[in-house]
Amino acid sequence: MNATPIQDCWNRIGVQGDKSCPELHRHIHCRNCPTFEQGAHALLNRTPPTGYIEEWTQFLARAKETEAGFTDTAMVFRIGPEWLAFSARLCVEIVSMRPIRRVPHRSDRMFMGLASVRGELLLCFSLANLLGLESSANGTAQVLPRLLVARKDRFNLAFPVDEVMGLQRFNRDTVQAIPATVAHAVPQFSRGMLTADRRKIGLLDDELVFHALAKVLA
Amino acid sequence: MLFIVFKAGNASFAMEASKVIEVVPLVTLRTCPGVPAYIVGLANYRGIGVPVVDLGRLVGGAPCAVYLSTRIILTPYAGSGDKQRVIGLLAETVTNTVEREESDFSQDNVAVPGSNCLGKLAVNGTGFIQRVVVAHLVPKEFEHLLFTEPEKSVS
Repeated sequence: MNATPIQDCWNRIGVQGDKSCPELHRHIHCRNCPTFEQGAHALLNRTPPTGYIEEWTQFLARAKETEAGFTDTAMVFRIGPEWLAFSARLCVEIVSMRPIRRVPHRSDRMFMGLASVRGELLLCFSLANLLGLESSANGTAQVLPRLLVARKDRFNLAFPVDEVMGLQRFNRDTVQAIPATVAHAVPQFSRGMLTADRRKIGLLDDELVFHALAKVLA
Repeated sequence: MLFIVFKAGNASFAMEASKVIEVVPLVTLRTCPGVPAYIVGLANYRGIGVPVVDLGRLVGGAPCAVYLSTRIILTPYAGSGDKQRVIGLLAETVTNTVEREESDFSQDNVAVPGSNCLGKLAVNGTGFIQRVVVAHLVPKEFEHLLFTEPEKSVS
């Protein structure tokens, strides 16, 4: 079946074997080694198993299954008691919490300071203070504080959040209006409300939020 | 800019990853008579007949070997008309992507006779990667033979 048999050195002298491979100290684990990578690629240089082509022919001929009408994706996170979400398109990455250095005479309630993310100093803003929320003060266990990096108009900004739930897909038509009776400023900065896993998630309007933050710095 | 890289024979080729609709394994193709040999047939892609071009034959070599890594890259094809169609490019070793700049593809290569579907070259280690220009994959005179409209789908 194989054109050339695969040299499974990882089973003999690598991490699965006696660990005597001279390359091992450099790559630490076989999975980092180019030889292992070549082995993985060589697995694909085989003739397909019987039925494989027929199965794919049938699969490809079928119409694509629409995925329950999801139109958008949101990055869901928590600040204090509130679950909030940004459009996933905005989010660059989620990084671990790190020190936020105050900038003398500039840092205030909204603009917290600078944080270093991959050697880049990012402006950190407090969504909690913008939205009038109290960050993790409700007594529930603060799970994992994170720094959410979002990109808007070629600028990366960072927001400390109390917890990240992850990406949530939703249908634009299911977004509900937020009751006007909510005390804090979330409705003011939101496009609406999502329900996922029985949680009410405030879908933040990035235009409004970033506009408000730009005014803070002006 | 991200490029999907693949092979035909021993030569490497590349295409912008942003132009890829999806990459699927080799499927059973329906042959179409009267077209150049490198257009190996029509694939039934979600009910639409999509012509598949064998890159190996196109560059004048052997047809692509039937391997698991030999795959069909589905990409939009504008052609001469304004209608958006899909074309499949059959190539070997469709397993990798590379991050390259547009300007890396700067070397002009000898053209394939009668076809301008192969673009410029970029140096890659000891060899080269050549751009595939999807818009010129199918000669104009064969377009009407190959592209069927969705309502007249091939079953």
